[in-house]
Amino acid sequence: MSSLDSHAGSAPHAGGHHGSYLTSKGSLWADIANWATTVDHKKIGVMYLTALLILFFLGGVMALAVRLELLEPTRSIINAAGESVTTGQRLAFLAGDGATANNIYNRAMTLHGAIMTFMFIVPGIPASLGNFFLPLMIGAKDVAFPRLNLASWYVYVFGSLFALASALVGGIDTGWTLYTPYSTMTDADHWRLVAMVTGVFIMGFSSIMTGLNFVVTVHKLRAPGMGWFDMPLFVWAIYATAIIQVLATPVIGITTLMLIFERLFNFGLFDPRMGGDPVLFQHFFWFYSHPVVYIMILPAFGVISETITVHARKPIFGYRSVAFASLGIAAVSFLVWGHHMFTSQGELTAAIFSFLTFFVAVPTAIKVFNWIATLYKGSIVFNTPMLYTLGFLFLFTIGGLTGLPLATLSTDMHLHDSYYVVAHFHYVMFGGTVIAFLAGLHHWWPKMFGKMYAETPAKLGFWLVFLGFNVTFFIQFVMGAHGMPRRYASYPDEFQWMHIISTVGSWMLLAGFLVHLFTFIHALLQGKTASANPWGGMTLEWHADSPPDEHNFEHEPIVKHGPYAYDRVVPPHTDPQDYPLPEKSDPN
Amino acid sequence: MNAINAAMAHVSTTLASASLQDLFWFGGRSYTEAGRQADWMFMFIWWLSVVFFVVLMFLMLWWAFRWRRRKGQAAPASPSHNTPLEITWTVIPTIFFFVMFFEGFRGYINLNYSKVGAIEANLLAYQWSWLLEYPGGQITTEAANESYGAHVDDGFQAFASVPAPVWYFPENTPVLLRMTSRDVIHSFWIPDFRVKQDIFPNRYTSYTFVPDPLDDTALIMQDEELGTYPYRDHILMCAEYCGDNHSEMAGIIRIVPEEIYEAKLEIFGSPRGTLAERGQIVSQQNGCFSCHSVDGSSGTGPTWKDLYNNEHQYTDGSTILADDNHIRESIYVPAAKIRAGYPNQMVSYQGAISPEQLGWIVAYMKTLSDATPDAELAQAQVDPDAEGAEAEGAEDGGEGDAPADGSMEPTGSAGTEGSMEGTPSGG
Repeated sequence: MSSLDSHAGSAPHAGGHHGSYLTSKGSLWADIANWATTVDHKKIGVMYLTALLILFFLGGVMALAVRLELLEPTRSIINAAGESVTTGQRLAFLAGDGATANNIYNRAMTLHGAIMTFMFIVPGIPASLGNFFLPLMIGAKDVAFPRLNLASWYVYVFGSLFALASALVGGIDTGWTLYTPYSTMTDADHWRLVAMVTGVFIMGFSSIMTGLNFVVTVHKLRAPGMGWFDMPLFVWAIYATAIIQVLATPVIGITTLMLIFERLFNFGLFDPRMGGDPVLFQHFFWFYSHPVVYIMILPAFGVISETITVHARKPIFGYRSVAFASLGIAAVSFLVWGHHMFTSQGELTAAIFSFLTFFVAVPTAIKVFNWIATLYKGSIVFNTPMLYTLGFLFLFTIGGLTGLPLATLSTDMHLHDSYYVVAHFHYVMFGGTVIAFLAGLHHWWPKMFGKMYAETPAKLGFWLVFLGFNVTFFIQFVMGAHGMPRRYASYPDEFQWMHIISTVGSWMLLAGFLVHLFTFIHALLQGKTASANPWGGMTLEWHADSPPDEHNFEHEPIVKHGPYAYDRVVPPHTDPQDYPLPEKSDPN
Repeated sequence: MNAINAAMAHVSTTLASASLQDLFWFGGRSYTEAGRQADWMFMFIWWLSVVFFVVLMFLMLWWAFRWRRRKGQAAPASPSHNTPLEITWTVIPTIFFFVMFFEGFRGYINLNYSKVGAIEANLLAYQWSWLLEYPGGQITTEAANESYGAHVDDGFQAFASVPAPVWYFPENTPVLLRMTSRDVIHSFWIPDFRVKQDIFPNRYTSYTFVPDPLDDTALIMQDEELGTYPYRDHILMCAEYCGDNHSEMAGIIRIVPEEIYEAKLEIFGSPRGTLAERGQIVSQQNGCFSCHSVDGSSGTGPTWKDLYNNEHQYTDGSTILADDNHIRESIYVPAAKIRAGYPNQMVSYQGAISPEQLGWIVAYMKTLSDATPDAELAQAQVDPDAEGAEAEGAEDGGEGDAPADGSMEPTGSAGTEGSMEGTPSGG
């Protein structure tokens, strides 16, 4: 039985069809005006994707600059004329003033962190893939508040421009965590800091709008017949994320506002010279920024749940526990912010936060077990989305397990603020979220743009990214355990060989991303036309055209089975040669 | 000071001498009992994680390969959930997590609670160095260059060799540091001891350790005054990002036999040398050289080379002669006049550098300048034979006239005891 009868064998372009959402309006100006004023969630998703990839590129350039700098233990080289040239001066475009080499390093490091967290990875999957696929996967025409959705994109771009304006004239050197009192004392010319923080403040609204929109959409716009446990797991993940976005983001709004007031009007909230408490800022900051880790990773969990079932042609193992684990993680994520502050607070608080932190590990572990169990007796195809999915399981498991010594008090006393932490959160955020983002991007690319990407170069890109990532970051566990503090522009010589390995890895990563850029552009220009359901997926988005019709579906779909009923149903639009019916076919 | 030079080659020995095996995971040997417990905990989690990881990855790869897609062949039906299995894999990790939490908390207590009879010292952290005051108010007069940037041979050259203060503590004796910060948040980390602790302005935090006894792995120091003795160096770093020179905020904890520690305290309590030499030491202790070079190279702040008694451009367009009063103002009220081309970044050293010490620093600056009115006289001060003078004029120089009145020129020998009494917290 199919969930959608309208597609089965019938002429796809019947009444009510408006053509692909990508169809040109005639002239370039008409297209620009159309996209700029669109309320179509798919166009907004693509607009988010474009903005995100540009910012990812900028953040990546900063990362490469930081790693290049760390090739050498100190910051200076001798040029041909025999003068001492600081490494930072190679990055001189960053500096709008007479900054020292250390200062330039600190700014590049801060920009990398600020761009990647606030501007790329937090909005990342929900705003791009979520916007595009959430309504499609629940069989809706659009999100609940389409204009709010468009506004959220403009707010996001506006906020990014504030932050980038700060970056263009040199940026700030506080680290992305903006810890007081350094962030209130540094840099007399403080409007750069205020611009950056204002950018973060503005972007917070975009995050809240998106979250609010998704919560209402999931509650109100599910297609007839779709109960809560008929929802795809990506929808569950986005839903859990949206709840965190709505609840946690106002806290960063308040915190950034307080920081701006502190900076401009000397409120004395955080500055000890005026009786303020610098640790208060850390509490505020992490009360948002810990849950935000799950804003980053939960959507990735959702993507992996989709890709692993479709490309293994298996119902996910333990659907309900995966769905509840998402909600459980979202709930516990609010109670563990203090584990970022074990070295800056009292013993009792540290103990309580350590205890609570382990409770996040439980649902996370359950999810990994479920994904791996899903592979059992599957029909697994090693295409790029599946390679990225397996890569995710490998990297995220390392990321999760290496979090244990950080949650444990005695070992965190040594590892806190060392390169071990840097390696750990890159394994979680990059090895987790970015890898899942790439899995999802390849998985849904045919649906989004109606074109297939070329599999062979995409696989090459995967191997470069996967190996490059491990070369870059695994050695950093060793560095950190051995005593290399993070955010160091120069370092003891003993660590140089490890930094060299790490930097070479970053170049492999760059090569991998360039290969992907090539495959995506190639797919857009010369890719083969994609069928509506190239992978044989069972969730509703595969019932729409590729690329989808402007209003998603010709008729409102009626859901009659769950999203992963592979044992009973052959998905439509698949080659029976590749996807034969199970022998024990369900009479339903 | 020869001892320092001799020690420089061995400064980071504890890091450099580690074998490749030691290099992995928690940086080789820990030099405290509590640190070894933390190491044990880390290795427990590590091997547990390795087992879980290997099992999971083996299953993942085996199943992915075993059940890879074959043309025209359907996937067999398989269970989509299994409640006993799911309960099992929820309960077992939870038990391990409880064990980790409790063991970790125990280790944390061991690392953080000081033993009875500890040597209690005060530590002031600031951008970008540390000032440690021994129980008797003494402060170290020794510094060593770290191993940062020794690649002169292959085209790299040290940007600035930042002197790291060297602190002496006796072996096998508990130490308790009471720490506070003058400006921003810092973090005190000795990797060899496996603990770090943040340091805040307007708040005291503590740091404790019991260094292991010196065994046959200790190095041997040849010291002209104190003879030959074993020692062990531990690198100290700042682990909380604190601005430009965060990464140069290092120090060395040197563990020595009890009697050497006592002897060192005696030496630190009665510094000898000329005013300029004392000025150099005070400058080192206060971290001046993390921003100001003495060889003309550029840094966060203006170089001290040829600074004294020369005219310089300031951001308001004026040109000012850098005389004693101007230097005094620049140290006590740094924001008053900003040199053109430099950020307004320095914090005030009012209360940290006494007027007497300020006089020593001026004396030291004179030796670095070609424009000193009495350059030859100033140069003569660096002559180690010249006994340091008791700067009588500086003693009552609290009103600001001391540095200018020339009374701290060496006028002959005088008693040396107690001449460091103007240290920040006054002992």
